[in-house]
Amino acid sequence: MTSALLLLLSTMNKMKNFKRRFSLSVPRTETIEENEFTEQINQLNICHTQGLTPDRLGPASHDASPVSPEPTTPGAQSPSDLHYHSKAQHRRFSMEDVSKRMSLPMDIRLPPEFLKKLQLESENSPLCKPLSRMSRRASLSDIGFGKLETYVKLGKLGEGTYATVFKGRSKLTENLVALKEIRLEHEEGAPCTAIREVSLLKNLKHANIVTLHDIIHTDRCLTLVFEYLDSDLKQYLDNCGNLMSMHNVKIFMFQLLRGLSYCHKRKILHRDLKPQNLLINDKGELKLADFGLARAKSVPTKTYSNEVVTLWYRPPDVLLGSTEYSTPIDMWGVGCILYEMATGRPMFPGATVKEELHLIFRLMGTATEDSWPGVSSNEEFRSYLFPQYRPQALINHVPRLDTEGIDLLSALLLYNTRSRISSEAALRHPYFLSLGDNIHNLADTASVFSLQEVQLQKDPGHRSSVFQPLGRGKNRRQSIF
Amino acid sequence: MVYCAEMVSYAVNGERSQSVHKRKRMDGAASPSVEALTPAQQRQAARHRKQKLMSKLSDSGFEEDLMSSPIPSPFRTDVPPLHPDQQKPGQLSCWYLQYGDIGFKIQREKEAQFHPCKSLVRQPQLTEEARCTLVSWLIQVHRHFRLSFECCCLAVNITDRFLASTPVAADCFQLLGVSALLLASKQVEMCSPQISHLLSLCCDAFTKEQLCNLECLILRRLNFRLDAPTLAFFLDYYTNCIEAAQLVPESTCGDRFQRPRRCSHLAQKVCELTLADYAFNKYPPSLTAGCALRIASKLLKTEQGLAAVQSQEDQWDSFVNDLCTKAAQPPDSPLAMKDHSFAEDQANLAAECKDNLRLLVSLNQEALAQIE
Repeated sequence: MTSALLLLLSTMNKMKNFKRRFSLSVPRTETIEENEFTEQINQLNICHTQGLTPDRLGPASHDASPVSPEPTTPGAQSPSDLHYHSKAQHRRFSMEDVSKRMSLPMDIRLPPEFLKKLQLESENSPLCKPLSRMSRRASLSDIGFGKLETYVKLGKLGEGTYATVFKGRSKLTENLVALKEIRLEHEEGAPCTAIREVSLLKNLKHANIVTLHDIIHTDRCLTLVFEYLDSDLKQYLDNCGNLMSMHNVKIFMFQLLRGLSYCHKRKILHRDLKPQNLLINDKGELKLADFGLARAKSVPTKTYSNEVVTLWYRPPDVLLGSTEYSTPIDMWGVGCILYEMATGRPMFPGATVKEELHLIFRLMGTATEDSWPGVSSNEEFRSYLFPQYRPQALINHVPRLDTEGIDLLSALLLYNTRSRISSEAALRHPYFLSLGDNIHNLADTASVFSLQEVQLQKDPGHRSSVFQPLGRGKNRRQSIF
Repeated sequence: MVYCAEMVSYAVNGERSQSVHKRKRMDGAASPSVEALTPAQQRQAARHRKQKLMSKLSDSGFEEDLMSSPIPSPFRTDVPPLHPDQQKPGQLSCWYLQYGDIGFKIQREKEAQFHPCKSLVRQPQLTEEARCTLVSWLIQVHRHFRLSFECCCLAVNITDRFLASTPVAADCFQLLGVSALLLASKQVEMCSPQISHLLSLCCDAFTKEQLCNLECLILRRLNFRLDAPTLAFFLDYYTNCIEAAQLVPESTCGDRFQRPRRCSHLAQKVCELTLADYAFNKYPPSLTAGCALRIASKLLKTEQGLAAVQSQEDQWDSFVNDLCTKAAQPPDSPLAMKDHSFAEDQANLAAECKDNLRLLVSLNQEALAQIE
């Protein structure tokens, strides 16, 4: 059992380093025993809060050996070991009593040493202190948080590099949720993408960032429970025939920048912005999803599952191998997304790094020492030998965007990362003046639609109304989320 | 790499360090400032020194290996530099310019939730010395893999917070250290060291399964909360503040960028020392970083003497002082500000931290001089 690791490890190493043990300066005193006791309770507590109930342990868990010597066999402690169970009942401190007080499943097998200690403890003092704290902790899971049983899987939404996403429903709230199952067993331990996504999202509470409701940690799997949004920007564009109302473009853009600014202030980068990662619900609320997935360093063109990774939203500095990762790398993608919303087509749909750069330079002009200090000394840039394109007027390519919009777009698509506009500054750009002043004073968790003056308009290209059949099309290009 | 790095025999270790300690004293190597201290401070000084020596004498033998090995280890050659120094001298970081102050405020507010206080209190087997040995070793390991200082700070933070939650057997302590380093690198680095490399640095005393299991356990215990504000963050922020202040055109001194850089470099070394010293466990990283910068600036000042214009020196000094107070004050909480005793406590804590740092620095002058 994973949670018993430290104890077991310690036992292992005790045997291994038998001789060395003699020189251990700390004698095994009563205090240590007490501490070990607490440790074991804590370990049990983990088993419990993780909801390691027997029905989910699977066949592998029916290992009858009373003591699992190997920390490498998680779940090896049989839950249905009646032997210990009945033994425990003869004790003054009955197993049932323990289980009740600890709200443990009745058939969980407690290690014999633990029971012995328990017995000892009960003779002296009733186990009060450690337990009161524990039962408090357990109560959260009693409600159903952190338990897989609380959620009903409804169907697969998509499969990504390291995770599978299911649509689900919470039995607690009856709300739809997205269940992202992450396999933890990998060559290099827990995947860094999962670690980052969870650790970052836990701290992000914002109306324009997808909410992480719950985390369920089982032996081999980590399930993240997210709020469910039924569409994404890619799908939204498809559904309105790639012809969005320019007013809606502005509202989406503002929400995107709002969420991003919240992250950037916390030095958190998204690093993989693309329409598929911008989820949209029926109210038109846009939320950032899929954090920490992209590694800025390399530019992979295929994931492990052979899924093509898009280069379309990558800034030229990253395409040319920059490993500096700071907030401007997200801002380029924002520009590309603004263009895509306004025109209905991707801005730089390159298939390879070279083609991607070529498309960028053809439109924005080949990078020069003026537009991008230091580029002429970049080996990769020099090796491509791009023709000397001159920058084209963006207005000719995005005719539906007003002057302010063009100005914002140009500020987002600057080669020099230091001059590229920040999300915070972009929110204050004159382009958003028409949304009013109040929009800047919203609480983090308040939606922009909580303001009366902010409302979506009907998209000209949409088949019926703005909101209704926000397609559940079969051709939905599902990102990992 | 012959020895095994299991941290078991502290008794032996302690004796060894004691004897070296005495020898050092007879050699007159102890800094003269120690003689002038109160008995309590002297005791403290002895402890600091002992810890420092401990770190050199860990029975793992790795520190020596990593520090002085003339032949590069097999990994060193194939580990690409993960952190090329991106920022050109005199260039403020992009993030600082765009979000610095608000970002600082946010990190300050978050700091308390991630601050592991008294991480060893519940540990029956682990001592301050053991922690010092482990952290000193981790500092070497992080350098070996060319991980960032941020990663190193985070690894120590993870270790401490785990220790605060779970009693750990002495012979698992090193495993905890590498697991924390692995997690920290997964959180903040673009590439993390390979598990097999990490394990071989522990002389393969542990298995991959053990490492992976502990990794999962840490994640559970810390509830996946790895996004902790670090010493590295605050040091970086303060350095940027100092550089920004110096950008005013009136300063014509040639080393106007070099000086804050050097100062920040030195402060980082001081911060490394504090990571390993349990006495600094109680100070929030923003405070330690501020005090470290201040001390570093003082050290450089005496060293450079008349090299720079005096008025500028004073200006700079007072600026760093301000920063230090900024760190000591609670972030924007008017309620706490009104609470006089609270503000006083903070000021006392800052003064105490500064004093302890001064002591630590004077005890480790040699080590710091080497780095310079």
